[in-house]
Amino acid sequence: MIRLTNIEKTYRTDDTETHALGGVSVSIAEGEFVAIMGPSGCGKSTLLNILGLVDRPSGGAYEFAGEDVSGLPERQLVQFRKCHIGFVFQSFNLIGDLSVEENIELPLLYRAMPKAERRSRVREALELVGLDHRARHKPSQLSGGQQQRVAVARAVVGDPKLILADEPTGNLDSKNGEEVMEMLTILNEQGTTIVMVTHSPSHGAKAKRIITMLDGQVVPEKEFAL
Amino acid sequence: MLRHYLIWTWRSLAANRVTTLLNLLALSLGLVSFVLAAAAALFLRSNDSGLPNAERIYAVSEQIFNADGTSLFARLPMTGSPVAKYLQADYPEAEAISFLSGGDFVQSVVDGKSRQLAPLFFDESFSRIFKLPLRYGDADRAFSQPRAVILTSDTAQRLFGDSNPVGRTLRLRDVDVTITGVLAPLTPPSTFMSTPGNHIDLLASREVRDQIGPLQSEPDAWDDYAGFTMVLLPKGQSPDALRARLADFGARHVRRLQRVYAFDAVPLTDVRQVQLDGFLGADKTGLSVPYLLVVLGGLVLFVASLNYANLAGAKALGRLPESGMKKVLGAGRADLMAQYLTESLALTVAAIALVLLALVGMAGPLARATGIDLSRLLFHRPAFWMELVAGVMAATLAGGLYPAWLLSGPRAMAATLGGKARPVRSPLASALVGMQFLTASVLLIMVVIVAQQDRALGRMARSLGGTELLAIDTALDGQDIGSKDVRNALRDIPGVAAVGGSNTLPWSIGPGAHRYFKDAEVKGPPIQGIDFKVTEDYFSVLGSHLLAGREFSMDRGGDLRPDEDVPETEFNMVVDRDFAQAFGWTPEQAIGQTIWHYTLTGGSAPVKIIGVIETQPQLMLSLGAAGAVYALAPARAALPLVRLTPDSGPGTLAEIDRALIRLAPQIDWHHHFADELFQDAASILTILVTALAVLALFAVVIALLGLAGMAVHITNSRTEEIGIRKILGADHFVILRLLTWDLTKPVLIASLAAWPLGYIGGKIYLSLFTGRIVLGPWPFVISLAVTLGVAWLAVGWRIASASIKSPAEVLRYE
Repeated sequence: MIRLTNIEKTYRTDDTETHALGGVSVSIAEGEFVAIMGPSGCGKSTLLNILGLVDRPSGGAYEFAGEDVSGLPERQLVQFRKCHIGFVFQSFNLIGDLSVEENIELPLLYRAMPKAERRSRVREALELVGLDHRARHKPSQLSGGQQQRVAVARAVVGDPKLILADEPTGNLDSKNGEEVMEMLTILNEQGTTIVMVTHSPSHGAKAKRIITMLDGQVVPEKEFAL
Repeated sequence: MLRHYLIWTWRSLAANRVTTLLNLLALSLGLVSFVLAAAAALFLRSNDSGLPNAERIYAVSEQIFNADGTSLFARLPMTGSPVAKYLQADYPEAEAISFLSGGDFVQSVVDGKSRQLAPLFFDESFSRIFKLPLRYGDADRAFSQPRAVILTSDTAQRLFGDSNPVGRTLRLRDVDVTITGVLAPLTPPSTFMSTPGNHIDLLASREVRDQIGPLQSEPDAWDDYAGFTMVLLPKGQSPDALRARLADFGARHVRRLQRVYAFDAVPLTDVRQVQLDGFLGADKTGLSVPYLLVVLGGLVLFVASLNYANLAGAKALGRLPESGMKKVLGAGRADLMAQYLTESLALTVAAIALVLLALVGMAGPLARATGIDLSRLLFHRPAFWMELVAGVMAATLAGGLYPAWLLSGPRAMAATLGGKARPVRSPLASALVGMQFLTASVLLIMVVIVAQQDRALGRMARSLGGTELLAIDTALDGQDIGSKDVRNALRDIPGVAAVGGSNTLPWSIGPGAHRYFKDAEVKGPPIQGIDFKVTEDYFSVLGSHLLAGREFSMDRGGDLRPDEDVPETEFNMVVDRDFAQAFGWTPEQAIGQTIWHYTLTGGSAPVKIIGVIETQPQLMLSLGAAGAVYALAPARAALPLVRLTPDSGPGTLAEIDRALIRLAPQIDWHHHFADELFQDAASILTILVTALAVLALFAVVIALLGLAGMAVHITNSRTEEIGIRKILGADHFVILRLLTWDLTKPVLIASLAAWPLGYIGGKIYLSLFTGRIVLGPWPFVISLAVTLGVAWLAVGWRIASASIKSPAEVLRYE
């Protein structure tokens, strides 16, 4: 489903040049649950952003579902992203002015989905994460775990092919973290491809495959085993 | 989707109540200022606009220049009577040409009571041009009857109450005339309504004028600005043909050496504006009043727009993560721009609604106080509503485009995905902040200068003697007594220190100015002096201090100014200090000096300086005059002036009244204290000054609101930094200094940059006045102190709240 070939990413400022990724090649099959792990600054989040089409690589090729998306213009990337990819972030990134159900509805609005269908999907997503009784609450009225569940609901409401989770349990206690991991596992069992960045070995172990990164490059599996 | 934009807009505005309110207030103030200024400008340019044929009626304007091209008299929409006579031949295709003259008070008797009434005399062509509506009388016949007299609405009310006076008799001087009509109330401004300095009580036909005898001002000379020459253009013809005939009208018809007469055509609707511009020296300063009003109103709106863009931009920087998240979730650039422009539109519409409410609320009091009818000038004009819609769109774009563009760009995504969202200072935002502070500082400087000059005018009024200098401002033309009789009647009354006379009030520029030269060839740069014709004891009455030489004496040959028809004879003059100084003389050096002036028939005539007095307070409008010159001409000193002793009281005034009635019981005697007359003469300027100061203060308030809003945003965006610095050991004062400098640096730079602009503006404004303040440092210091002070106050309370929190609390908040 996803093929990255020799992906490079360099950040340039007036004085410095930072090579965040140096020739990363990764393939992810449909339905996989992949964890990306590595020390801070190794390029995990950069890789995730490129996978999510929110950042462009400086070099290399990116195929998504058989289509080369590396050189697509911004407008098409937006279209691709909203139809196929869901995001879960460490700091939840919910919109404070909107209620729980409005936050979950947001991606569907940008897809110009009819109102009835939107409502139906939002209801399903709320039931999935067990927060239908909190639909009208604002994010500030929820606990961290609940906010992250809302973020998961928002990520899945559009029925995406791929969910990208950037340290989804990083700001949660162990109990809530486990709950979120369980949700992601269930989603994966239902067929959703999941790529997750994590620092937690126990959470990483829940994935079917671990990609280890170091200094902007993927460490081959045999080197990791050693 | 629009419904969602509106819901999000409401929530966003409600969540940021402080900045929303600041924005709303500032934008509303800016819009109100601009609308009122535009309404005032429209008002000035709507003279008699409701009259039939108004669009085809033009007034001939006249301006007199010296031979070297410098302006001698300002351009006014008024001329002497010869213009109408010659224009009949020069422009035969005109449907009608009429000459209206007036402005003097005439002694009248109505129902046995003496009154002073000011007639405006019209000729036989008048009713072909003007179709004035009448409240009483037959409009078709009232103006065409022999010896027609039509009262203004206010005069009829004053003399006869609500009753119909048509057919009743009143006596103008010793001529009985029958009232043929009463004007209906006219919409101001109107040529046929009284204004400060220009009184009209009734319209009377030419026959009446011929019968009542000579008046003080006889506008039969080219130099007299005492009448209106009105032209009704043929239907369908533009004024270009008229203007073409007037282009060389002066050169062809006026034989005056050393002067050039320029004539032009002014639309009837612009007559009031051109009068005001002439009065305020627009030809010297280049500042036309309506234009100035619109520019200043526009400046206030500009400050409000800057403020709006500033606060919107600052708020936007704090919303980058939210925007970034929306982009991640699939929002395109267009989606986000539409959302943020909807917010901008909502705020603008709310501001417009507030403005309209305010305008409706103030419409009545404004119309009663100034005659400016907002309903007629604005609300009933379709163009106003179209302009309002355009204004809404412009304000929406001005305030919303920049933040919308910022929030929908790549920086939003980076702010969301790069970990913490850190608002980045934009150079454009800094420039907007600087421009706002700059504009506010310039306006503050101008407000202080205007206020200082206004206070100086008040001091001048008080220095005239307050309740010790009395002017007997009663028209005596056509009476059996003259001002000499009045002076003699009052001289011996206890409490009267001195009685004198002049041709006009001490501060008036009515007598005009002449140019004087050091040599007989009248070459070289002239010095312009305002001419006064006075009595022997005039300077005692004024209480003016003789600095050198002597005062006039009737016993001395050469002191009495000869008749102007024989100008070649040398005579003596007294000048003021400023006039002597203009020639480079101290008061002592000026004594015995001979200077020359042009005569109207050509050549030059000498005058000798015999005395120098201290410069008297002048109202304003130097028009290039350096000072005043005084000639002894009792026959022309028609205005009696009385100096009362310091211990005089109501008894003295009562005695004066009795003496005047004994002298001429048939006359309606008037007198006013000098400071009352000064304030009355300055009333137009006071109104304008007040209007300008109000607009400037609005702009200052808007800028200050913006400052407060910016302070909120700047301190909010640095909350985490404050926490970290406190952890590292910074105390309150370090934090205070840091944030204060961050906010006040642009204030300081902009305020200093404003000083040269404020200086130039102040100099231009002060050039209108003869008695002007010296432009010192205080306006600039005060402007800087106020803007910095408010900036510090705005920052201070925010820092105080941050400094009392523990670092952990601050960082947890972040």
